[in-house]
Amino acid sequence: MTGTFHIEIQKAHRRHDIWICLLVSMIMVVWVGGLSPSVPDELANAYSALFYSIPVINSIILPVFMALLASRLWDMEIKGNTTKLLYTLQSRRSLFKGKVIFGVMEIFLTVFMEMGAVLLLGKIHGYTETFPAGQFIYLAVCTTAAGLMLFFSEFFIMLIWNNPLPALCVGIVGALLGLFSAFMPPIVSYFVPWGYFIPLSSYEVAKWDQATHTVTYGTRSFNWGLLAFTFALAALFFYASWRRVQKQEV
Amino acid sequence: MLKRCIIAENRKLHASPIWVMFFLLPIISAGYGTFNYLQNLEILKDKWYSLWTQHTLFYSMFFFPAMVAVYAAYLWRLEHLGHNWNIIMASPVKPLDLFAAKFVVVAKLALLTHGFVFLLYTFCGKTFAHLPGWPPIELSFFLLRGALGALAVIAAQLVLSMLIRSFAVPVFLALIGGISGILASSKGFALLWPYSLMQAGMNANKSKDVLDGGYGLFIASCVIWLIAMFILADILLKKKDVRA
Amino acid sequence: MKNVIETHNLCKSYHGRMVVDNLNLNVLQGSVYGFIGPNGAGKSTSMKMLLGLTHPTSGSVKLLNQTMNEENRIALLRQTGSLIESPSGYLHLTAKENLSIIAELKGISHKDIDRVLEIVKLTADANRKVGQYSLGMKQRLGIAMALLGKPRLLILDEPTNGLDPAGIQEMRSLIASMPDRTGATILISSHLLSEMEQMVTQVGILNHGKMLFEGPLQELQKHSHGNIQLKVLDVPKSIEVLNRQGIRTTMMQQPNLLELPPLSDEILAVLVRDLAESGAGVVGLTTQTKSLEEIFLSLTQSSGEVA
Repeated sequence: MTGTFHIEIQKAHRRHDIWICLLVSMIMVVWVGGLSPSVPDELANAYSALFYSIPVINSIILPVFMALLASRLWDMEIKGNTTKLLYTLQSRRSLFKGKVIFGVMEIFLTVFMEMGAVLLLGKIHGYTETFPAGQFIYLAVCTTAAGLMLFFSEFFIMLIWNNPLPALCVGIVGALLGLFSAFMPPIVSYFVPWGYFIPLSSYEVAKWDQATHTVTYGTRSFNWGLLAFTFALAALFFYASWRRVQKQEV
Repeated sequence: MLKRCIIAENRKLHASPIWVMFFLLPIISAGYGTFNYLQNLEILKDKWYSLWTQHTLFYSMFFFPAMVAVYAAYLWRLEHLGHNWNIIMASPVKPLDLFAAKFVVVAKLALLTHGFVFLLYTFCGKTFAHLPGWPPIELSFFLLRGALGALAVIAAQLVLSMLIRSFAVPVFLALIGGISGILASSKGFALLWPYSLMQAGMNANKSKDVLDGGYGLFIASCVIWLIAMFILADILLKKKDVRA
Repeated sequence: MKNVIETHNLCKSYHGRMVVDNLNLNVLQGSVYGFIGPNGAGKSTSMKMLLGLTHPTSGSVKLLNQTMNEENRIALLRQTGSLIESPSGYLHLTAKENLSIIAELKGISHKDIDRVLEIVKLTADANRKVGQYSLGMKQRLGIAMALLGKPRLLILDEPTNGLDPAGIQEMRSLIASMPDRTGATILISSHLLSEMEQMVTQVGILNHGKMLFEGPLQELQKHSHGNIQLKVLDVPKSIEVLNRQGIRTTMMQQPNLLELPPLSDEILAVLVRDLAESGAGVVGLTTQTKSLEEIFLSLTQSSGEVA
């Protein structure tokens, strides 16, 4: 278990994966921070605003980012022509396990740093709204779930074509669809997994004052059903990927 | 020599699944734009202009750079894989010609996509939104400006994909580039950053023209960035030599 | 002597087409076994089945005296080094880093890395990224990976592919010396027969998935007695004698030169005496030896046993 993960870490040498993971949270800090509020009124519901916009940002960035993680993870084996050598030294299960652990760790790291960025933003800009701990955890879980689901779906696509192009294209098109689905009737968004970040989100716009351009946010109940479905989809793609690795000719 | 390179690059794109992107992204963008326009008629009162913003907002902010990045990364991946580098560098072609050929091919594809966007926009405007008359002539200028700004993004992505031996990383960076473009625009640096140029040119997110009166500066910025990217590419290619 | 590799009626078919057809491979311990056949004969598929990379349609594989199955496969292969088709290696890592990954997977000490780098002469380039390697260097790295951990069995698929002539020569002498140096048994495939003659002790010839010949190299060479060229002063008289003895004769391009089929020593002795007595005037007699190429060609064309 640790052995195969350790080997994946060795393979990741000089690939700067950590920096790429860090990039996601940096974008958030810069993007949200750059457009950050400064008036007391807005600081008073700044966390709400942040928690409302994070899922939107995620649905733009993460489908492509997950395609990036998943495709890189397998692309090095393709470029190096290594699977047939590896399968003489380790079982398919062992290689798959290494990849999965490594990929999941990267997702955890990304989510962890993204959530860290939330705390950082709150600190830097001095948000006056009470920190919503429950919402914070819910958001972290939802981001992880949707991230895992996207990661395994992209990994599966990568395994089918053995080429990062389709996975990246699906990521980009998916992100576009996901983002659009957010502005469509809620039912539509349930059919667009790339955008699940948004229907999973528990924040919504309660009131938008067109004259003063001020937005008041409200919360809605946690979407447990969709969260469970997201995990189920992740499991499905995980299983499909594993079958693919098992069956793949080398 | 350049011409032969272009022919070669064109051939590399044949029979590649990349064409799917070319159709899919604009169609999705148009479908959503039209839908959103029709849903918000009470706010969006500027007819063709309003439809234009709906059609091109997300497309020009995030997905156009990513799409161009896919084209660019695809063309360089072919060189990064195997030993093409050595063959190319050994062939009697100036390295910059190779870069320029890729630029021409990607630009051609991107401009075709661009045209397709406009076609869809007009079609949706007439068929679904039942807008009177034809799109204002000004909008085709927006499109042209957008195309000019796009050239700088294309050159930048080609440099990135040449440097980074990964397919996915430059594509992701393009998406981030789009975001950086929004930020630069919001801070008033739209003309100083290549990824904002296309957005500014398309005039996708404002009802009034962002470039009002600033055409000369805009064009100058596009040209300067384009030249800068070509010079950078030339330096890098010379340094790279047959090392790969 | 024991067999290190034994296959029993090994078959592989893709979409109903037999790629490997009832292959019975017997590789003796300590031998260098040349697995010869043209491209597409089924060599790579067979070797992949030996390594458990491809599942046989039917039949079984015995490695190091154990029938291979999913449970013991990895344990058996840890004692095996292999190089199949094009070489493997992570392009973004150096040769040394690549080898340390393999060492990790084989569960052996990293100290062995320098030794194998030395053997394949990559020590000087050990800290360069494999992405910058030439094909020949990648091939040598592939062999270094196979040699790591002093395996008891080496399975090498066309290992001289992509090497320059000097590299090919080095590789040949390296392979030929392996059994003595490490006691390893080597199975090596090639479509170039000439390079095999210099290193192998045992030969298996494969075509269209079927084994045409298997045995010691000398036995194959026994079949290599070629035609006999006879130079005489009087051609008509010679032909008369030859016809009387019922020997098929062909006239050669050069005057006074005749070609006879392979003959046993006894018959040849009698023939020479008769020719001399008839006054044909025997000037020269040369026995041609068939090259492995010719033997191979005759084997594959007739696709039957060696005559």
